[in-house]
Amino acid sequence: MPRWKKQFAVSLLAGALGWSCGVRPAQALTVSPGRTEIRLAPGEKMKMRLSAVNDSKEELQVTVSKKDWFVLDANKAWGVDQWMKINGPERFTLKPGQKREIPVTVTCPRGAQGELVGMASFLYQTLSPTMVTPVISVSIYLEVAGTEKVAGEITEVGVRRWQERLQAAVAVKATGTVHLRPTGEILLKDSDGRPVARFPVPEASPAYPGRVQGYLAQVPPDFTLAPGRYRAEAHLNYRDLALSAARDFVVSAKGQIQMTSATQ
Amino acid sequence: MKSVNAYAAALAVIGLAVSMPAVTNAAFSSVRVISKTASATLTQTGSVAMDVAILKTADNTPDTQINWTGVTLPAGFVLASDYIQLSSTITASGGGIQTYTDNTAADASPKFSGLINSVSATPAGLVDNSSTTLKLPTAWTILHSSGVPVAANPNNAADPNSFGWLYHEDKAQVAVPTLGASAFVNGDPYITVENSNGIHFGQSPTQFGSAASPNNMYLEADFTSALTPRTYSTTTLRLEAFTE
Repeated sequence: MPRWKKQFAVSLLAGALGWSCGVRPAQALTVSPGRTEIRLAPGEKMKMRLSAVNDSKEELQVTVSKKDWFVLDANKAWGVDQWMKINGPERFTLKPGQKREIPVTVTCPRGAQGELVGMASFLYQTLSPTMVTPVISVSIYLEVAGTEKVAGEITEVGVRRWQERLQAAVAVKATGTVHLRPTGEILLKDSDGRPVARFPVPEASPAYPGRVQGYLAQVPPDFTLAPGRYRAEAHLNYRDLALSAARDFVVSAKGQIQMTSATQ
Repeated sequence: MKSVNAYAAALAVIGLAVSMPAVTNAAFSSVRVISKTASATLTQTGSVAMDVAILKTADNTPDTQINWTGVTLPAGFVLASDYIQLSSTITASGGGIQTYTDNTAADASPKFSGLINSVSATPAGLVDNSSTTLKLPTAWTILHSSGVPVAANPNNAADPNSFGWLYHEDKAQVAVPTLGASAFVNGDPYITVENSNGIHFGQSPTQFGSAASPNNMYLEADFTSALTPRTYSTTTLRLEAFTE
């Protein structure tokens, strides 16, 4: 009987008997870099490396795979298999403390538009098969030089209360052929147009083409607004793209917030 | 058929989980930007790390797998007897943790063999070991508080306990409009347990809120269509840390 089948049977028996073997030493796999952004002309090729380190005290079995993460409609013909190649064995074992470099070759397909987004995924477990399998996925962006269109719009600016705290957010839709990862600020002005607060909008998840992504501003937890009329202005930038929009709102005597205009 | 004794049902469902390391950890860091015609740069912009521990709901002691014990049929949604304590640190922009089943993957045992189309039930959940075209739906919720959630049908808006439960999706599923199931999309808020804004505490795609780690992830299964004696299980309940 194969080793894993024996362990499966034992595990099943252990489960049926309600047996618990206690906490095992922590498993840890670290993969870097977390994100790789590459810009290539059609037909160009680039080699890179990902590294995986076993920081745990147990031997880990690692299975490497790749997958599409976001596919532009114009790139339906260009799946991850067409542009990303993970070299070396699909499965390998890492002893405690061991590090392994995984060579990756990225090829920019002729005919692809905008960008291609894929993930290199590392599924790992100990020698025993598991019900819950942890996976680490690191992103690889391939921008097709000469076809990128960086464009977008702010679709909503919002201010609200959440868990007794003020929350300010802005939603961005990418309308070009590459993702947006905007940063900037949300500026609050009073009814006389005087600035009363500036909240930075940090880098967050990307807005992929055709999709809307929300971005939360960093509002101090103790920040409050006196009752009155206000305007929230969002000013964001990504590469050479600048986006701005505003929306009015009212803070009531009880501290409730109501948006009073459309995003403009 | 659903009239069974509790012991038999318990034996059938106790095998839902197979071996499970009590603690797991994942981490990655850094961002690299490469241009063929420019110099390569490596920028440190945060990290994502997670630890996964399985604990018994009854006494918070470690367990090796997620079980449903003492289920007597007929039954509807039943809370698992174990929960996942998820410790995480997400400082990388675009970082998150998503969960789903992958019941048609190479490492799935049993492997779901039913039809995958726009009119059939999705592969998500626990697969019937005897008839692998069948499965039981499962759902998850994540809480910051120490309380134990009440099992509920995620689609039953009349039940105040339902709003925090989200059905598991399967990596291979396609949209099934009649069941309200969407096609699987990586990074979709519905399957995202945590991101840099916090834990996903409700069904809305915007209901993320900061909550200090660790947080507790509970599972429930819908036994409405369960048969006995049967074993329902999955070996591919994924918890995937990612950086976009």
